[in-house]
Amino acid sequence: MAWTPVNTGHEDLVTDLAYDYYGQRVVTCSADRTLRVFDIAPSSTRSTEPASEGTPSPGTWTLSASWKCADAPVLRVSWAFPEHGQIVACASADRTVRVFEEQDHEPGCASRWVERAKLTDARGGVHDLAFAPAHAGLRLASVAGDGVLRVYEALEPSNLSRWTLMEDVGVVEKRPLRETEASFCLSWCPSRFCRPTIAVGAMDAVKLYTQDSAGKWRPGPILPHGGLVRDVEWAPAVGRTYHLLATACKDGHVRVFKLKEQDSHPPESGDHADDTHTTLDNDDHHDHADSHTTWHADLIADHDDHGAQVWRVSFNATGTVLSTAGDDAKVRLWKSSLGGEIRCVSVCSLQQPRSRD
Amino acid sequence: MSSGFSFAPTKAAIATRDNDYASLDDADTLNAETDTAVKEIVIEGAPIAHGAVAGFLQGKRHVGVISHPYLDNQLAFITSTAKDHAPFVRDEARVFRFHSKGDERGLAVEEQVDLANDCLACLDELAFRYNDDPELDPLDLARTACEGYREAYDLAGRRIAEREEIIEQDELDALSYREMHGVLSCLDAVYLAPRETSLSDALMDWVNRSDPRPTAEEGEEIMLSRQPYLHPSFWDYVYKGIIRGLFDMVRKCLESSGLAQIDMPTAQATRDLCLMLSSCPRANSYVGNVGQFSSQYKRWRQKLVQLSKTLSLPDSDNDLCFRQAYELLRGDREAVFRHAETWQEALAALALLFDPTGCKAAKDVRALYDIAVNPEESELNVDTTLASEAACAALCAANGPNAVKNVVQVDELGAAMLADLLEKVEVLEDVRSADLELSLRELLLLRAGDKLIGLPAAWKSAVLLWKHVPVHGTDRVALTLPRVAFSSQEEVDYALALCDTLDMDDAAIQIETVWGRKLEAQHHHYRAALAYDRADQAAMIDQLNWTLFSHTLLQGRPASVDPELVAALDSPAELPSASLSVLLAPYATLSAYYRCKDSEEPREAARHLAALMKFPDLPKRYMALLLAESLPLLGAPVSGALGSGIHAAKVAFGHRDLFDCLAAIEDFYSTAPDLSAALQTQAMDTELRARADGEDDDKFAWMEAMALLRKAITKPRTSQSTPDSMDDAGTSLASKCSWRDCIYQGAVSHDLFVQKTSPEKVLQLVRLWLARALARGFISGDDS
Repeated sequence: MAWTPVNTGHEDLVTDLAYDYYGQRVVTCSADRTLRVFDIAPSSTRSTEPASEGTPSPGTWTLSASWKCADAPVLRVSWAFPEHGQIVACASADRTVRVFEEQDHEPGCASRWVERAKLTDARGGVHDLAFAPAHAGLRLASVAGDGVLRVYEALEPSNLSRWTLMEDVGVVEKRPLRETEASFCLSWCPSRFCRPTIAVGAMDAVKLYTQDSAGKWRPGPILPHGGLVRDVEWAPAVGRTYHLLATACKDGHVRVFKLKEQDSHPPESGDHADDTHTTLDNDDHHDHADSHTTWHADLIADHDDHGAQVWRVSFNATGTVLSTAGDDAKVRLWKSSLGGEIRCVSVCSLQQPRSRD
Repeated sequence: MSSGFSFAPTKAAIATRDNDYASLDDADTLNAETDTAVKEIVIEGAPIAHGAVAGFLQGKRHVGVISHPYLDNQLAFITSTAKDHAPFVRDEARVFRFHSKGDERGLAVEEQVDLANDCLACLDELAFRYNDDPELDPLDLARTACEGYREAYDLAGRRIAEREEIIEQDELDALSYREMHGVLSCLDAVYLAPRETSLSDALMDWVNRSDPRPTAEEGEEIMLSRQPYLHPSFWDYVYKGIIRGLFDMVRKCLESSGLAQIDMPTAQATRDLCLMLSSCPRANSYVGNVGQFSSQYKRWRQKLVQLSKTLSLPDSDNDLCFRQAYELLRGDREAVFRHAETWQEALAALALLFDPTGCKAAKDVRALYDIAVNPEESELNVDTTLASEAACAALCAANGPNAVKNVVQVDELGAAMLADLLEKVEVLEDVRSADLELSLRELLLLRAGDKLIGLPAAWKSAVLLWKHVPVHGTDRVALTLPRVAFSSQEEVDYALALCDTLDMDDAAIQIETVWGRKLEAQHHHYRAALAYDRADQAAMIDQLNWTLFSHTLLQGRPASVDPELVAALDSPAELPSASLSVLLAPYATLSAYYRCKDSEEPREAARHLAALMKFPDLPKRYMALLLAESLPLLGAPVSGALGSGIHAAKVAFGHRDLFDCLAAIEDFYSTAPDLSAALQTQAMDTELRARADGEDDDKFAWMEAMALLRKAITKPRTSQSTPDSMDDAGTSLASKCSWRDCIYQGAVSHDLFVQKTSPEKVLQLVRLWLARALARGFISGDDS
């Protein structure tokens, strides 16, 4: 397959893109206020039949749909799990989160995307959003410039026009001033074996929020950083008894935290929480008997290889390869060694090599 | 493959591998550092000019990246979060595609997958037999598997050679396969020989296959000369043949060398040496009987010693040459080291000539290896920069983990296979990652799968590899299998069978559900329902039912033309589950209603319609349309087959059905919030949208019902639409009693309504005809 760049055709900078669950479609969003959906011709190692005329060659991107989706730059975009249909949601600087669903269409025809919902609770531009893992139902979390994490749920997945705001949680003590550079991001814990948890990058810290058995979102450990947290991503848990969380930070560091959870119950009077770890459950009022999760966080990797601000972190499906992008105009790929140490295995540069002339 | 092996990969190959596996640790500790630099790859179409990164940053730009869900593909893009960023340039809207190896991925991807599949077949067979029959000797099983792996690597190399188009990386891959073959041969020789067998011939066979010497060209040059024994390289050729155990070849050379023509003593010496060469007992002939081999060898050696003692030739040069040959055959260590060029050659020669009867196990090989690389005895070293050589050295030194670690740098899949074999024959120590509680074998199987899944269309091979690792492997399968975009029922069935084997119920449900959605989108409604049913997704079957129901009602004919569904609904008892037949019953009944209508069975049609109206779980939004459907059956004048005019119909409902329906109809009417408000039709859409703000469900149902009815009676009617389109309300050609046409034409309205009617007026009309039908029946006393 060809590896040449793909022109998305956006009229302004691309602000985010996302693969669908299978990696066969890509949705791009842009400061030009549009979303574009591309179908990627599947790559096959062998073709049993000759490609018919008009069939795109493997890896070719075909524009499937493009539409204006917001009244201001679109900042992030996310695909829902395919069990719920072809659904994308985008976060915009116009303070909205919008949910779009693709209509059934005949193969070969342009697809039609219909706006199903427009969530307007945010009081600032929405910085990031993500659908919950499939097992958690059709939920959507967003974090906005007003410093509030909002969790929505479509209680009837067949009716995408009805989203219920289940929770809004302030993730910063004070809303950042207008002139202050703000940075918010989030990532859902993908494991089905632990309570729903969201890691939120809130200015210069990462905070964990876990839903307790009563449905209330409780704050967990705070993972301090040396600058604004630009991105956060939870690695899929594959057989591990712990979780991995990667962060990209303005201080130029890629950090990977090892998180372990344990259910805890309201302490008896006089009990004190274990204080041997980074930061523990800092919810100091246990006013009901519901159990909740306590997270233990250890920093297991801290690399400043980019030598400059790091903007994005991205794990693959098995959590074995971490990609990071930094202000050195390079993408670094990280893998865990046989001993579990996370090391850079590949550096891919967007800077042209020195000319030989 | 009998030739072409080499201990010396190209330097390019070494450089590449250093980069690929820079993250590997020393397997002895699993945590030791590897001091290798990571090579930088330039992404194709890189947009930033060399040295222009500072300007790029000044423009408030940065780079973003996302990873493909499972393939080794990444996407990078240029973006900005700053409001005051530099003006946009059209080229900045590009997305850059790349993978972790840059341009260092060969074209022979198919061959890699084939190799993996071939190895997997051996691995599966080994695992099955190893676990299934404890009576079988693991050594025999491992030897068979190892032979299979060697064949697979041999074949993979040949497949690449046969490709029409290859690039340098493919050649490097082919070289890796040859090296892997060599390592497996070494393993076979050292660890997998049958019990009670001398390893001498096996070791020599490994060395000769990996690095064939002396070459055929050398032999031809020497032996085709006029007096071969006078050729300056003749005796070196002979010695090389001896330390390589090629006794037959050496004998033939001696016989045709011309030595026998020099003088009688030399002729006799030549005959004696040839006799010794041809009579030398070889371990190959005494497999499983090392005792007999030992006694035979001792007798032969005594004779050899005697002959060497009595050797005396007139020509001192020839005498010295013959003596050196005897020294080698006697296994004189100094002589071996004098003529051996590599440690492998020396080791094999020591095993064959120095201690053939004592070399019976890996520990004996280790003792000989220690001699071969002992700096006090030889100048032969292991080139540790060559991973395959280092791996063989580690195998000979009985250091399994180190061998595996080195093989990782040759071929990750091969390393996993090697670790598996070593574990099966209990050679690999239980090296475990403290972090993950995984053995080295398990770690490598996982990593080999990780690498495979990154290749296009290699998911089957990857999941089959992962399957061999409990928990961690099955977790990987469960994570990635549902992400595969299946394109056929066969693939789905394969994946589901795998889920069943590995008890991955959640993954199976996910696969079935998504596959069902895909089938539904392709209008294979029956198979979609089956998939949902298997996934226990009652809600999705329900949704499918009501979607079809809604479309059917809107267009006045069955929405699904899926023949499988039509056939299944005709015989609900044969559906695979009761829940499926229950959940699809509303649509089945509605379809039956239309079929009866079309076949002019009004009484049957009315019975079905009444059943639907009485159905307690019928969503109220469909009630208005069902009521409108009842118009022709209540005796209202309707159009016949399209264009055949308007005629009055008879009341098809039974009296009892009408009374039964009354309750349901009145219940529906009771939900009407305020008829006058609802008549504000232009406000309807706004009200529908307001549902999310907490409108009352009944009121909403009424509004939805009105909206559906309006859609049915106002949508332009055309005969050009495709018959299977589900979204073309009112395109029925088959409806023999089309109330829609009549409403549309105003014909049914008598003089009560103007031609342009509204849903509310249609319902009033239904009530009117219902009252007439009831009254008529009441008066006539007909209670049928």
